[in-house]
Amino acid sequence: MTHRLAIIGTGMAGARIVEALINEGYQGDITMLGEERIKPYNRIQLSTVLAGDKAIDGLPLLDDNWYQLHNIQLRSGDPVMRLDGESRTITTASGWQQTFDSIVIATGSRPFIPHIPGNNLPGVMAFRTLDDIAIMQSFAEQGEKVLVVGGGLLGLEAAYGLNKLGLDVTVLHHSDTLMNRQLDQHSANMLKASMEGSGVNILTNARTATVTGTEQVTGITLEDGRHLEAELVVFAAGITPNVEVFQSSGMAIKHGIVVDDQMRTSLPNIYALGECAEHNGVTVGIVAPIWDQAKVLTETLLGRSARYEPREHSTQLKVSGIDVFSAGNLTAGEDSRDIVINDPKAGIYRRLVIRDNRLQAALLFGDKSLCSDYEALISSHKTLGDHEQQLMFTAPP
Amino acid sequence: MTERTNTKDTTCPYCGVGCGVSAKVRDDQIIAVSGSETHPANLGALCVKGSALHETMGSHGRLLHPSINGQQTDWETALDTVADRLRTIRETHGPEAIAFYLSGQLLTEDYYVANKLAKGFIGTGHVDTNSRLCMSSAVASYKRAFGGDAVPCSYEDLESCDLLVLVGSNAAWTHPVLYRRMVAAKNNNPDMRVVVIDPRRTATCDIADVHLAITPGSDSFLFMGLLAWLHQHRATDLDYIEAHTEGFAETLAIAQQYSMDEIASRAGLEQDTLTTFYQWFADTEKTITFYSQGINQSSSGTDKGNAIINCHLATGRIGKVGAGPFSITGQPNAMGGREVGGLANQLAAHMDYTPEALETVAAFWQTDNLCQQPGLKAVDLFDAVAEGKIKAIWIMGTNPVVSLPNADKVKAALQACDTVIVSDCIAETDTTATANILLPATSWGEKSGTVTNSERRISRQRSLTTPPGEARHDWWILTLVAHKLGFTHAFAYESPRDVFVEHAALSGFRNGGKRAFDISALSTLTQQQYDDLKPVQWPVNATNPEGTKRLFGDGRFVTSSGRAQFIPLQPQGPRQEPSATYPLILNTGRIRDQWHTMTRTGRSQRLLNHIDAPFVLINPSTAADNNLAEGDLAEISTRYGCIQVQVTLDEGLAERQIFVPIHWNDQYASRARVDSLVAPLTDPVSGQPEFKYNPAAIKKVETPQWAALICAEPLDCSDFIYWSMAPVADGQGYCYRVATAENFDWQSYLNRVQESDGCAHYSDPAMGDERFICYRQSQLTLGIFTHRDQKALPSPDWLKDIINKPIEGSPWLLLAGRDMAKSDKGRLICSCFEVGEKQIIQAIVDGACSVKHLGEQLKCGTNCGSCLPELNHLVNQTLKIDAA
Repeated sequence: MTHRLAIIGTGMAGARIVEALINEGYQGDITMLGEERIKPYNRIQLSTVLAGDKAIDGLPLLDDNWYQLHNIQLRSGDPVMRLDGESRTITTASGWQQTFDSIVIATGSRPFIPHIPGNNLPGVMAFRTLDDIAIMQSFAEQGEKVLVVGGGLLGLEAAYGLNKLGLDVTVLHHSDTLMNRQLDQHSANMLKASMEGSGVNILTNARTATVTGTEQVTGITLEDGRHLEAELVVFAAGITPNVEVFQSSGMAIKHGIVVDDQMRTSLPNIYALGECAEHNGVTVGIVAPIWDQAKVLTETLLGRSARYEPREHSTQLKVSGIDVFSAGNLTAGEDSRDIVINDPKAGIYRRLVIRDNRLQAALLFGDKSLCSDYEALISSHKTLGDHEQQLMFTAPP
Repeated sequence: MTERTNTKDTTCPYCGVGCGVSAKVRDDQIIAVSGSETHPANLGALCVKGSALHETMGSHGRLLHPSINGQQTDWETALDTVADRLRTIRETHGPEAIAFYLSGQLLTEDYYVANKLAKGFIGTGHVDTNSRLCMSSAVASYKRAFGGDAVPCSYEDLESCDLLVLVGSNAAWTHPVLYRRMVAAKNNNPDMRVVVIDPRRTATCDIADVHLAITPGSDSFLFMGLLAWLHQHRATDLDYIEAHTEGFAETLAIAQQYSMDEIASRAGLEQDTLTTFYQWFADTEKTITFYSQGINQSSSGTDKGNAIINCHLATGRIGKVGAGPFSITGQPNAMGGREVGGLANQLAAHMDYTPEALETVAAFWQTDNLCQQPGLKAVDLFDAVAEGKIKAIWIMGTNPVVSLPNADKVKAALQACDTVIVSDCIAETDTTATANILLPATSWGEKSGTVTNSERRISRQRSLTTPPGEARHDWWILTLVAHKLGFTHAFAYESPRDVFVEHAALSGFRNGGKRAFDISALSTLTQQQYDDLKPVQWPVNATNPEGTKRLFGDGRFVTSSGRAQFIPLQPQGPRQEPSATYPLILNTGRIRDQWHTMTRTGRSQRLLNHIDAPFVLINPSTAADNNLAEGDLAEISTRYGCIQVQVTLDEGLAERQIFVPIHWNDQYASRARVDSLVAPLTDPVSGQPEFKYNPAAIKKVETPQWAALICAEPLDCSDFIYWSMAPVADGQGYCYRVATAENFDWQSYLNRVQESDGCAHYSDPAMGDERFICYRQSQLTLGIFTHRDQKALPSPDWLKDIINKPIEGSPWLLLAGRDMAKSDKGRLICSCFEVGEKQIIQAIVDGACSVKHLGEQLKCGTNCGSCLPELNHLVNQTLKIDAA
């Protein structure tokens, strides 16, 4: 009998693993189950769609007829409600039920909305899906003021998109450093100035206390007592892995579903990858490590040996006209070289951290040239030799 | 288009070789220069300095208007002021309170008018010239031996000799065209031998069969030893001595007091080496002894010259084909200056202050004011300025604040002097900074007149372009001042030709063969004939209307007895000895691509590419003893002053000897005027200072940080520990190398000195590396590259093409410190084709195993040839390393 494989989740991770399996000549039956009603699409590009820099039809990850061509059963818009870990039986919201030989969990995550008063008022939303874009677009036709909670990558991209829709957008960020996971203070200040230059208001050290309103959102009150008016509040303050439905399955779950180096969960023949998975205590929130995980999991499923080793990955802000690239750990120790280029007038900032003749981190603002070389050097831990001296300006041969 | 371009023959304004130059002129600009094929001095060749002459033109940095106490004025006012001051001082303090300090770079005509005005009409004998510093000892020794200041040889003797003895001359760098002739001669004549006598192993030693690295200052012992040895080995020409000389016996007696052992030990040589040299000298009839500043610049330079001449007299090798004692001058017209009487101890036209000469000259000039006794020689003359005895000094075309010994004292003397008149073509020099009255003079390319080179050859220097601003010829300025002083009748000159024919007439006036210098055949030249004058060697008189190749070949001299004089000299060492405080011996001299105090060569970017900053050469072991490494900043001090320059290790120097070039001054470096270290000790006969031997101390200066800067405007350097500057071509900018204190705050320095609207900053604190690129309206205004380690400093050379010009692409990319599109050529070796050291080494590694191959591949060394010794060195070094 043909091996039957289920992939729960039609996000970027699910699409990646199915594509990899097919490309590697996987012969079993594949069923994909997804919550969203449409076929897998490139979520990373959502903000560019919101900003109008890219059309929706550019998003699908795979051609419509690709699934048919490869005989993939695709169940969209029918979320999984239960997994029996022992029998590997899946039950969906619609009551559909099936047992599989192997199961891959790729349910991803959802936006984290803090537990504060008013967080469920109409007009409070997240930014995660194509549906969210539709809501924002229709709001733009009537409303005016938007508050975006979170000055990280996603919040800033959302703010930029909403601003492009003609809205009066203010970003509320809890610390004084925008994109504090990727930037240093200097580049964060430059980013703040650039965002403000393009029309987005930024409030740093702004900690949200309550969402105000009775029937509809009217604004946000900050911990320091200031009140900001808005008709729409978008939370972009982090993500929560989608693992609740698997709590009862018997598999080990901490923050995410615990996986080993081969992407195996604690239950036989059940695997997980992507934002729902937790490897060595770490959950991921960007796409690059998911690609690595997909590669390892494909090998595992095909019975070949592979091992997932987390690498440093880069981040790029997708805001037109503001080039930001960040990769690696920017914390410079006493034994590291911290090289900085700064041209305030030209809006250029570049920083490299080098340790033991290896590139540890790169931060580029205003000009991303050499970013892919830096990313490769950081993730490969390659020694730089004499080239260390010129690394800011040229890639090693 | 071609009708606007024309080519004129002129002569080079640099060294004493006096090369002919063909200059292409278009639209009143010199667009190219080449060696004149027909000029007998160089036959088409030109060294790197001469080849860059057209790059030193342009009105930037020129003195363009007369000024009085810093205020620009018109010529009429300026000349009235000069005349008034001179008249007042003469009336109040007497003519002796007035001095003139002239230059071997003046043309003969300028020199003649200055000398005539000063000695003949103002009546002061205090007329000296920078030739005092350069070759007055050679003059004095010729005069003592021959009765006249007359070089007996011709350049072609360098080619026909079989033994060439170079003493105290790094001709490869100082007289490159003659050196090329020597190299060619040696290649053509396998029997020719070359001996180089120099404490230093220089580029010239490349062609030496034997290099005698003598103890500095021991030359007289060496040549007196030679005299005794020649006689002992029957190599003296007793017939010649008997027939044509006097004083041999006394001279020999002194020479014989020294044993070979003692001579060898005094000279610091092995006896075998010494014997080889003596034997070659004895055996070779056609011997030229070619000498320069290493002999002259000594407290016993005159004796050294005579020690050499003694040996030539003893062998009868004077004025013969391929034989003679050949002094080479340092300046283009040192000889011309001597001819008119530009030295304080000469009157005019090779006449001294004898009663007969005084009468002759007074009669010729028709003056009652002729000064009656020799004036003060340069060092004493400036002492008299310092003492206030001289109230007015007129300095023309030279830079005594840089070039005189004890130069800080000279500077102070001029600063304190009431009336300092400076005629110069450059606005800002260390000397113009001390002037009350500045007079803008014309420069090479604008002036017209004659010069005399080291083989007595008079050549025309021709006017090629219109002088900029209000610059005027020196003879014109002097003539007008003479008129204003009431001497119109005696200064009725309308052109250089008028001056020249008078000078020529004086040389023949009441001469009758008594004076070697006689160009009376040229005293009737018409303007056309003067303009067309072909290079000719004096004497040019009724007997020798076509000029004279060699002098004294017939054994007849211009002494009163008609016989040459042996000088019974007691060999002397240097006046000062090293001590515990000053344990090293400081030597000074020229480098290949610079000239004097850089007022002209410093304007050529290309010439500064070879060596762009002052330095001290030091033996590696002496450097190590003093905790010094390559590139370190070193302070060199004597009891007269101190300078700070960077260290260059050189095994060519013996231990405890150091060498510093003479060129750098306050315009180009913070503290590099080496002559401020030199003792004002002079030769008692010639008055020439001892530049080549000064006890000195060296110590390391801590330099926490170095920086290389390029900027469009001159920088405020007052905050730096050290700085040196090299200009960019055409006045487009300046390159600096500076040393600063620890944690120098460049950002606040920039805020103070720069008005830029953008600045890209690079910082790498772990490496002590900080860089800035500043721009204004997208034009590059300033680049700063700093580093803790001087050797790691990037060279801003590649920014020279874009300083003051729009930046293509992002400014931050320039922070790279090198042109990412171009490979780094390394230090420039061949200035003509701009070939760098790294390129050359790569070519050698890739198989070019000779200088000839390198020339074929890279063209280096195929034009002026000045870099051939360095190419040779690179080939040998690289192949040696490769083989190891």
